[in-house]
Amino acid sequence: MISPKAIVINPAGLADDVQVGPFTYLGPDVAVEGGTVIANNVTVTGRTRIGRSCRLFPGCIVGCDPAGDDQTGGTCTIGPGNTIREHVIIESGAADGPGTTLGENNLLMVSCCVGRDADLAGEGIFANFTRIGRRARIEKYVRTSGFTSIAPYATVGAYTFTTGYSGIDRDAPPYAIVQGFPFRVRNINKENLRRCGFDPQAIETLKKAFRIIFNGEAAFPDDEQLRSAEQIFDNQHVGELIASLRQSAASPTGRRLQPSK
Amino acid sequence: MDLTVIQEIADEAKIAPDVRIGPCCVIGPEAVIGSGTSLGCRVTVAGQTTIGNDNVIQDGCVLGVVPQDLKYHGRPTHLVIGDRNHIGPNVTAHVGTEVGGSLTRIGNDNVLAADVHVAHDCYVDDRAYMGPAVLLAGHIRVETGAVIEEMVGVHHFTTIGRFSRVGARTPVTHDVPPFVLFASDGYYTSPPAVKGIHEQGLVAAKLSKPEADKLRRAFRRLFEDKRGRIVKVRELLDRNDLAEPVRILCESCMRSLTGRFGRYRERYRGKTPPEAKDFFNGAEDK
Repeated sequence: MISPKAIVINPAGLADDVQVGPFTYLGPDVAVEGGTVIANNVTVTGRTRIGRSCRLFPGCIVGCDPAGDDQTGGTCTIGPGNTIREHVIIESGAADGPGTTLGENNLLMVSCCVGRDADLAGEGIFANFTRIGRRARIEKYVRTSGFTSIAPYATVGAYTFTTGYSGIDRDAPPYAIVQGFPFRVRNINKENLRRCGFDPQAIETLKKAFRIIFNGEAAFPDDEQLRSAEQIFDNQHVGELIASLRQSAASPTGRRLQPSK
Repeated sequence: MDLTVIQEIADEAKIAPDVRIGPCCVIGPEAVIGSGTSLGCRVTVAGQTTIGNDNVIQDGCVLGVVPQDLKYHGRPTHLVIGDRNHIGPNVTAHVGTEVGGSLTRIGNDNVLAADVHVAHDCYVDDRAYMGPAVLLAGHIRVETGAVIEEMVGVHHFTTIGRFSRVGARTPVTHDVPPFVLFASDGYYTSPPAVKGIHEQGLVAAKLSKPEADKLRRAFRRLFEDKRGRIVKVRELLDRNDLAEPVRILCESCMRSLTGRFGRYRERYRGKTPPEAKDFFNGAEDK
């Protein structure tokens, strides 16, 4: 049902059972799949595609032009099952970029901000005021706390938890709890792994690997630590962790997605 | 101009005749708005929300929407806002959850600056001030006269004591005692801690000079170092001639020290807290 007080420029882009609240503006290039509920006072502009069963809450802005950027005109793709709470801002991509992408079942809480061409893999929970920089990559099952800011081009590894006020200025490894600005790896994110169905044996192995890899204050563990961990553990998750750390360490900025000049 | 053309107000909503409602406001069928309240532009009042008299609610506020808690399953729960509150632009306040007591409560004479978020099952008493972008997670109690400066994030189940002050950008993960200044200066250099007594708070609490002096002495005794605080609190509480503010400080410290993670409201995890019980039994109306 579309409220008569909503402004929908292209009603053909909307599936039949999409609900749109009053005073919501849906621009000319917006497509919305079935089952999605768009509340009142929402703005959706740009080349935006919203998947099925999403919920958009009052005051959120999706697909707006990136701030301070001439490179407008990219796409914004919201996957199925996403919940976008009040006053969230999701920018659309740049003209030459891959477009802003949200995977499945993300929860973006009040006042989150997703920069242009960011890539959220899915199943993430982003607490209030999480700022995701442009071109950042967030892997699956990430949880962030309030006021987390993620730098442009940074990657946050799968299952990682960021504590409140942490600044992700370089790639955060998977499976970790990271804290502070500049962040430090504090521990393995045991609770999240347990909730996501890892068996206790796998968690214990990862925990031992974390002890070897992250003992010290260095931003990245040195190659020796990684090699010794690799020799001890013949495990898929530890392998992924080490590969991720190697990729990040290879970049001069610590952000593997940042193009070298 | 007739603003009703650009408003969506449910017929069932109980709105006093002198309420001023700005353009593009959306008010749901179960909302109750008391007289003298004014709503700015684009305000959303959803769910079972009760707003008292003489409140100022500025543009873009979203009140009474479903909570962000994943344990919420859609039962009708309440958001109750008292009288004479000033609620700034883009403030969000959610209704309670079934497991947490079904009530989010904002008392009287509070000031909530822009972008403040009051999550499910929070209880804000009276005369509290919250600066821009203060973030209250769920199940929090903010006691009377507390001052929370900008961009403070407060952990679930925390209590902010009465007439205390929380410095800007401080992560609050355990209870803040009453009458104190709680702050951090830099993440690694100075972790958030009690930094001193909040002198303006003593003035706001209208303490007499002898009471204030006793409170300062007790504060120095309790917070001069970290060791043995629980013993010191017990010693003070055993005395019979304790001044009222000192008793409040000691009892609050005792509750927090005996609570899990330094948060005494942790004992209400998954239960209905006494504030909600009192409210639904009508104790507050008497």
